[in-house]
Amino acid sequence: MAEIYRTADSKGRVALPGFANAMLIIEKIDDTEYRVRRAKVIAEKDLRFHEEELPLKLSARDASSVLEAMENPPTPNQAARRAAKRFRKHHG
Amino acid sequence: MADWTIERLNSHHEREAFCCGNASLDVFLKTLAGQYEKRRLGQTFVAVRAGENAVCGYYTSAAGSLDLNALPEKQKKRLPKHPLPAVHLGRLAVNQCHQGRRLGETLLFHFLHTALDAAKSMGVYAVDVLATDDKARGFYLQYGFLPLQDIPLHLYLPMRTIEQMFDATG
Repeated sequence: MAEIYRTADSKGRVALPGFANAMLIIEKIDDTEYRVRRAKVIAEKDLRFHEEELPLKLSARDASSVLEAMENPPTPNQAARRAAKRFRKHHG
Repeated sequence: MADWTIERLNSHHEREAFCCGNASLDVFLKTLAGQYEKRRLGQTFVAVRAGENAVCGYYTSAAGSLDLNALPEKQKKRLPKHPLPAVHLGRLAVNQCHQGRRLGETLLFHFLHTALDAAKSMGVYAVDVLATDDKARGFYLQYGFLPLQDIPLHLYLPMRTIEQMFDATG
């Protein structure tokens, strides 16, 4: 990422190229570092929540595969076993 | 991984700066998670660094179910008439500045471990999740979640598989 240098004025104001007339999110990382991001404003009515799609009715073939997994549950894969081990080690 | 502490969401947790890159997941944590707790619609667990209150990641879970009503009558005979009980992972998100450090994995396995505990005292067939997009779907697939064919973002994992995961480590 290119670094740019700006000098703050007496009130601590800095001009940021590319951020004019934008809603910004300024996140303090520590006493000498801030992260500036352009906020994306989304109308509340446009926010999509999962619950709006529930309950999901399973199709016949999906219901059939769930039934199969109920009778013959898959054994956990290596990634899952390793992750469970890591979890147990630090949080178990 | 050991840096994180996972605890129930409470009023001391700082949520305002949380940004995971998905607006609806950010808004949920900041404005709705507390209401879900109060109304017992969902339980939110947050990851914080030791001694700090800023939320680094969170997940919300609730009771759910899998409706197998579409099965042919012959197959349905082997099942109860009600939907199969499940634990639903409603949301899981990690603050952008903590992504890539296995915090998502830690939260997921905290959820699985909690669901397994719940299944010791009540009937739970599986956990299920509705992934937000293909990237999230890939995250669950890598740990063996089973995707549905007709709703590809809907994945589940039988409790007996989860039990084996943790048995192997215990």
